[in-house]
Amino acid sequence: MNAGRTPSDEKAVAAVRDYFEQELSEARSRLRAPSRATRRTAPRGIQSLVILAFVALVAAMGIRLGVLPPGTSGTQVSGANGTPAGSPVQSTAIDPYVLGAARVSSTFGWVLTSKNLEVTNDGGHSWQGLTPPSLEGATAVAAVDPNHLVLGRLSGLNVLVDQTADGGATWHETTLPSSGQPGQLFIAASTSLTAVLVQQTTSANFSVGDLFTTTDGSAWQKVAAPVAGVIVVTGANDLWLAGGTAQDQLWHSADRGTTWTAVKLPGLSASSAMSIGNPTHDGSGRIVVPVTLNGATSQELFFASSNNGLSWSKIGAVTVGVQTGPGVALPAAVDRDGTALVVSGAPGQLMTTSNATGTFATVNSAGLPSTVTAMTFVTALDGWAIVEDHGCLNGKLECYSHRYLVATSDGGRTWAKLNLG
Amino acid sequence: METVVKPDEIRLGRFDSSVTAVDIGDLAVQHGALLLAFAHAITQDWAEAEDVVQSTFEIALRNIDQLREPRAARAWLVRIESREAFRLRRRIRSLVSIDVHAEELRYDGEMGASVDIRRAISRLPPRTRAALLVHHYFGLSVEETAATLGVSHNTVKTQLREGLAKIREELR
Repeated sequence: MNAGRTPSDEKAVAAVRDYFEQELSEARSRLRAPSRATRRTAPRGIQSLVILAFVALVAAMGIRLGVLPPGTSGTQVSGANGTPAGSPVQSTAIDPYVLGAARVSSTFGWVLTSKNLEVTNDGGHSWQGLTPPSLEGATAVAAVDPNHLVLGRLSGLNVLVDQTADGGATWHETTLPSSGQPGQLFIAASTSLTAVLVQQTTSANFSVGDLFTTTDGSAWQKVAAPVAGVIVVTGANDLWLAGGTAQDQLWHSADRGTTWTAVKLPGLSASSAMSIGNPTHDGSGRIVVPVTLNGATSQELFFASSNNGLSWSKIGAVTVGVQTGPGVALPAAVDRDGTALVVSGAPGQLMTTSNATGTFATVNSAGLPSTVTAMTFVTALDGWAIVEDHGCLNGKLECYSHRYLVATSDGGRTWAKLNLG
Repeated sequence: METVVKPDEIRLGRFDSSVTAVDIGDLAVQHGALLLAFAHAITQDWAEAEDVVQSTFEIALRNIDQLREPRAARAWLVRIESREAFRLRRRIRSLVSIDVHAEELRYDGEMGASVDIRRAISRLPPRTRAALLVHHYFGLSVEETAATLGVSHNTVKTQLREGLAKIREELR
């Protein structure tokens, strides 16, 4: 008996322990792993739990990793709020997971999977594997053009950044010290500025990040980012950052991250139930920001600024008709011309406009699975999408997961899986 | 150098001598049930608890390099999980009230006073319940409990005192 406790205290403590023992007993039965803690081979339920954990890992990475619009070069994208699919359990073999991809131009694009970093120079018909120093812990890629790529990896408390200027023939590695336990990585690059944002998992709600920038690839500047989230580089000095605990904040810096200004989009306020999508810039230099108004029938709004955020105009709005909750931005894309706006709607459907009038049409998409994680369109016709197929059966004990890349060349009407190298 | 480990510390998971190398599969095997139980103790909902465990392993996988002492894996995981559980709980509460779960609790197969005691524990504030479990079941000190739950040690003391008082009332 503890010397400082009364008998009634001891009874209360015993009740607490008994309470948790029963919780533990129920948990064990749910995991189908009674008293097997010393087994080397994981029982079926636990194996599923591990797989579930793996699924969660890649899915969580997918929350910020995915297809980027043409012209951008970072790696961050939106919500992997996948829905379970009815396909059979496939828990033994997991294909290379597509962690991120970007169609940078009509011909060039890259894809980072759980196994490889691959690039294409023919729009995805053929792929070439790159060999950076390592792909262990790689979660983020940015590509300016076929020669200039940046790869970000997590290694303990450090972030390793591998850069190439010759299409992957040689790499230069830099170690960036994180202030704390690093979480997600976000990378963006232009021809004259590279930015790496490191989310701090020790921050409140994982909402704070360190921002590292370099103009020459060698000398890095570290500043505190106002929030953790998707980062986009435009030009030599401008950074855009979308994130926050509710994914409802948009920030702009005109001095490479030294100072930041909160961006207020017209008609929206801090109390709006909205989730900011990935800022993108089109070929004309406009920054375009998709915003999902969360609710039972979500709306997607597109805002554009041609003067570095001094003024904004709403260039598109459509009721998507699917339910979204706080922090969930629907996958959306803008083509290089800035005229084609695309948002993923109900399963198998896209809402698109390509005439710059803001009038959206519903496109029934053959071959596009129900769960689109991210999209990019290089033209009104040519686009990529990362799609997920994952779910669990039997009380989340039997899980499967796939994440792969599909392409369209007819404005989203038909889609086909891209076979990576 | 030999590490002196107290028997209680092995049971309580602060030093798990069977863990000699960090492997997420082993961690799941050894701690999956405990994490699920602890998550349920906080959320009072098995589906949410599974989500919490999922997120916990997601974070653990991503930060496995942070686990410098494999034998402290359980405490490390519980620390991750407690924070993740309350983070997810906050998020869920913004959508729906989950307090209804406490009113819907049923304890099949149990009768009498023990049901009342369990119900009393289930109706404690989740943070109080978590503090009670971490301190009295996992056996962490007040300071360690505070660090695990991300609150001050004075807060933990208050939670422990008030939590036990309510249970004592039920035991009378």
